Amino acid sequence: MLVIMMIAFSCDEPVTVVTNIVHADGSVTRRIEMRNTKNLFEKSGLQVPFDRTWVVKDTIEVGLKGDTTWIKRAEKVFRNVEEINATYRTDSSSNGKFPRHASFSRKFRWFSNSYRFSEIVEKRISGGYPLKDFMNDKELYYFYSPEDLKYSKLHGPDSLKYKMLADTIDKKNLDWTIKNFAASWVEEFSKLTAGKAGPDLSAELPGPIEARFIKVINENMEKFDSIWATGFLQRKILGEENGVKFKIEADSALTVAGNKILIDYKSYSVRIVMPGKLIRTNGYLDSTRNLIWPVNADLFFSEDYVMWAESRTPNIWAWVVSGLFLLFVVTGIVLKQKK
Amino acid sequence: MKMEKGNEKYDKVLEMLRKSEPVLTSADEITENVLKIISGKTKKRADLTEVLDFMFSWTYNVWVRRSLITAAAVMVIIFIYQQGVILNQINQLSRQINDSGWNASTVNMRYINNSTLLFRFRERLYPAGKTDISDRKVEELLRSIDQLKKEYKDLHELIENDPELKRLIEKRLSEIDGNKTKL
Repeated sequence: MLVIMMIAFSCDEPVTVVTNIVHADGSVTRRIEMRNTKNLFEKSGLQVPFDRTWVVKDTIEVGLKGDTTWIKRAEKVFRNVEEINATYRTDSSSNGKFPRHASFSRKFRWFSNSYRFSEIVEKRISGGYPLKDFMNDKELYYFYSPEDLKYSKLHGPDSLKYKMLADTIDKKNLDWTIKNFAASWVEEFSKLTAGKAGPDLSAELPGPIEARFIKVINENMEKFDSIWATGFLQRKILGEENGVKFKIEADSALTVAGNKILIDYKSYSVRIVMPGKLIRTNGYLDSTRNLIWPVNADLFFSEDYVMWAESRTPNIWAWVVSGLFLLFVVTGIVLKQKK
Repeated sequence: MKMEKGNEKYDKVLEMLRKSEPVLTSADEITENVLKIISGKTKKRADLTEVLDFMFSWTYNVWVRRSLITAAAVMVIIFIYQQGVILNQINQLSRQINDSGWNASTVNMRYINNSTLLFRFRERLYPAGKTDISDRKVEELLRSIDQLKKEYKDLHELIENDPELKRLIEKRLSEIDGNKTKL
C-alpha cells in the first residue's frame, strides 16, 4: 500500500536519467533523458536544469500492450564543469533549492593520465549522524543501490535473504532518520534559545535532550503531532519549567527540523561515462559495465552524496620515450662491460 | 697437313703473347688508390667508434652512470607499480559488477522512500488543504503498515524455522518470477 501511495504522489514526475560523457579535455557532454507516462514535462516538475540552449528531441514509444511513453531527450556540450555548476547555481527546476555541483580533475602520471569526475549533492542537515554508524557495509551497499537493482535482488533467487535485508534496512533507516531529526531539532532549538536558556538547560544541550527527544518520538510516533501540540512532549523533553518557558522555541525548532527532513525532492539517476578505462568508482555497474547512481533525498541527508568515477588513458609517447631511454642505458652498460 | 700448319700458327701467337709483358704506366697512382681504399675503411670504423664513444661517454663518468642507471630503475619500478595498481583496481571493479539480471542502461523505476516517517509527520509535509487524503485514511494506512509488518515478521520467522516450508516458498517464488519474465 505504501508503495502505491508513494507512486501516486509522484506519478507526474518523469523518470529521469542524466548522463555525463566526460572528455579528456575536461569538457562534458550532458544528456538528459526523461520518460513519462503522460506528455507532461513541466519545468517545475523536472529534476535537473535545462534550457533553450540544449538540443531537445521529443519521441514517443508505444509498448506491446499499447502503453505510451513520452520521451524527452536533451543534450548539451559543456566546455568544463564550471559551466555545469553555473547552470546549477541558476537552477529553477524542482530540485533547484538543493545545492549540487560537479568537479573534474586530470592528473599527469607519466605513463598515463588519470581523470576523476564527480557530481555532488550537498547534505541537507549539518551536524547529523553518518549512515555508517547505523548500517554495515552490506546494508550500506544495498541502501545506496538503484531501485531497479534492488527490485532484481528482491525478485531473484535469494529473494528471502534480500527481503530480510530490506526489512533491517527499513528499520535502521527509520532510526537514523529519527536520530538526525532529533539532532536537527536540538541544533535549531539551541540557536533559538541562545542567550535565553539558563545554565541548567545549556548544560544539557545537546546530549541528554537529544536522547529524550528520540525517546519521545519513538514512544509517541503514532500521535506525535497531536501530543506535541498539547505541550506535553516539550515538558517531557525540557522539563516542566523549561518546557513551558521555551515552548515557542521548541515548536519553531520542530518546524525548521521538520522542513529539513520532510522535503519534496524528485529523484533521478546519474550516469557517468569516463574517458579511457574506468578503474575506480563508487557507482553501480551492470554486466556491461554501465555505471549508474540513484539520486534521492535519503542519500544526501546527513552527508554529502558524492558520485565519483576515475579512469586512465595511457600516454603512448611516454611509453616510447621510456623504452628508448631504457635501451640507451642498457646499451651503454653493455658496451662499457665489453670494453 | 692443314692441321700441322694451324698448330704452328697457334704456337707462334702464344710465343708472341708470352714475350710481350704488360707495361705499368701509373704505378704511383694505383698505389695511392689502394692506400686510399684501405684508409677509408679504417676511417669509417673510426667515425662509428667516435660516435659511440661520444654517445656513451657517460659510462666513463661514475656519477652520471649511476644516476642514469638509477633513473632507469626508478622508471621501471614506477611502471610496474602503476600497472600493478591499475590491474588491482580493475580487478576490484570487476568484483563490483552486479550480475543479477539487472540492466543499468534501462532504468525505469522511481525511488520509493523507505521511511514511513514521511507519513508519521504528514501534517508537516502535507498540511491541511494540501492533500486529498483524509486523516482517517492515513491513520488506516499506518495501522495497515504496522499490522502488515508484524504479520510479515511472524511469517518470516515461521518460514525461517521450517526448512521444508522455506524450500517450497523459494521454489514457488522463483516459479512466479519465471512466469513474470515469460510475460
